[in-house]
Amino acid sequence: MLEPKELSLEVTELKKYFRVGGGTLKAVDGVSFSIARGETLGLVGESGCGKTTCGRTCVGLYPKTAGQVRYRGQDVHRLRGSARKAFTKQVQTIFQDPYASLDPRLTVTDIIAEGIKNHNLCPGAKERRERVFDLLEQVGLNREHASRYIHEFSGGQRQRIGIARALAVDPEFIMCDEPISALDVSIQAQIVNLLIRLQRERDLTYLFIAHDLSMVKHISDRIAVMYLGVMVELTSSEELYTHPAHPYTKALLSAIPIPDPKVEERRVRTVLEGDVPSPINPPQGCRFCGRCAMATDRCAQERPQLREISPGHLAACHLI
Amino acid sequence: MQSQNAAKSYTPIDPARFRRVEQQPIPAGVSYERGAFYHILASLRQNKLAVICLVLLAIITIASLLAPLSPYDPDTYDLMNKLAPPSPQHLFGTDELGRDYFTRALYGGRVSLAVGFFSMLVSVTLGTIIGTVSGYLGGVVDMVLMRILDIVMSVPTFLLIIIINAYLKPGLSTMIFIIAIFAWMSVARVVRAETMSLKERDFVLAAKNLGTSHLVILFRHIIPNMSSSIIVAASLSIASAILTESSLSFLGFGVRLPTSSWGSMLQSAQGQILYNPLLAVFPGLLILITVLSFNVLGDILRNALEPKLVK
Repeated sequence: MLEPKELSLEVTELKKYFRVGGGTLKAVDGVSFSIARGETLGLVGESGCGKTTCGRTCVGLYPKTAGQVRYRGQDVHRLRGSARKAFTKQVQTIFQDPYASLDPRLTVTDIIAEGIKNHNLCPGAKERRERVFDLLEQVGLNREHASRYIHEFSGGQRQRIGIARALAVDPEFIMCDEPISALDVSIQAQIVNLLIRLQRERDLTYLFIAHDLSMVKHISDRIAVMYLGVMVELTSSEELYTHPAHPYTKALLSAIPIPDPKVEERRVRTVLEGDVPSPINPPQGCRFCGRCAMATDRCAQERPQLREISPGHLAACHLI
Repeated sequence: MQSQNAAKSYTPIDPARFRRVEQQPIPAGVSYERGAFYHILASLRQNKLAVICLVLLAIITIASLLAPLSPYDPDTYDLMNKLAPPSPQHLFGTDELGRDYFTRALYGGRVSLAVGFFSMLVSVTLGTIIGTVSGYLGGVVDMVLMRILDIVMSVPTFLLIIIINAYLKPGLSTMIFIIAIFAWMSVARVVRAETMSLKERDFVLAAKNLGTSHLVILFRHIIPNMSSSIIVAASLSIASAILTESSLSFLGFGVRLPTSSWGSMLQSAQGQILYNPLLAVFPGLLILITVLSFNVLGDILRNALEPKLVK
């Protein structure tokens, strides 16, 4: 399914369960995908479907329940000591909430320099400061911002600081956990364009998590659609938009507003009935079956597997 | 789905009505940095009650520190002048052995304040260490530490202090130590709860993601972010330590005579309560004012520092 490119991240049957009061919350339940070097994989799905948990487990921020995550051949969750430290230099995260992910007690310099210090990337204090200035300018801030505290910045500026912090250790892979969802639409475009520019300049690999399909299309090479802890469709972004296969993907795509009133008027929306079932006791068969207009008896009984329906296009549905 | 077809031609901007403005660089001298200490002072200054408390505490502390300047010796008897009423020579009068009561109160203040301050330091340090370790590590360590805390809390402290006191060499440092080992629990509880909430915050996760070690995370990210709770706990802790010291001295288990403390002065005043009730009033008032000020200050600080991040 992939061109013979060097694989960056390989995820096999990853499961992540949380123990909650009434049982086990299956946040991620058997997800497999891989990302080639220099590629951007978009991960979309509605709120609470396990995107963030999946992303965080992939970069080792959460321990896994089962399955395997390999980064350039190494098992992410088995890394200890210096190997683990080297991994934290290669793999970085941009967090969803720019308000919660930056320490309010530290200045911008301290925040950005933290990784530089941890990995001893700059010998002297002066070089380190120069590097911080350089990073600030790369993300569109200026050096006067370096000595300020986080509460003096707007959401978009904070997200830029978060990006600068991730870039400071010169990583190869960045997990972008909904980096734009907390921002205004006008700022969203700026941040996405900044990420695209940085990818081009530094040959970065992205796992880009979002719930906004139109933004994801703009940045991703391939897109994976998640629903309630499982992956329902995975294909190139062109293919996903032109030939969506899974009924859930179709419904998602039909919800994107079209910025042209005449076309927008004729847009047919597939409105999903009902709510997302609880991930504590998910349906036995296809997880989407309760809300799917085309569901059959088989869908309620048997869980569909992700399979190739055309070259490079995977979907998990009995009806295709 | 075709967002491209939205690209329409726009009317060009009329240069007569719009003027291009270049971005002005911010002058290098401008800085908005202000530390946590500045915010504490600023919020205290706005509160009259806080200012009053601070002034009272400052007067008592400075006066106690300057006690040696008094013309009288706190331990010299002057039986001719015993139980004298307050006068310009003896501001608080004299006690049953003719010692100047004002001087004794000042020297007593040194003992009470020193015990309060140092046992606060010990108990806050102990409580912060135990609380952060317990909250950060969680699991078995947390369970063991919290059960120890529960046990220490359910022991009738006062009795135990008296028993321990009987075995140890009496003195100021013994007393500080004894008071502190029974006072760290409330600090530890607050600190543990804060640590548990802070360690789940995204910025701690981000630090882990950058390869920061656990010890650095604790000292750089977690403890500074709960400094306001620690300051509040410290303020309340001084108050309760002073109170414990006074009670112990009142019962005769505190500092040994002839050294005075406010508590031991209250005890000796007991015998004279019918002849000269003022002897009980002065040390009692000093204890009251000091403890009340620290408690009020603690409450004000708690309110002032709570919304620190939204400012």
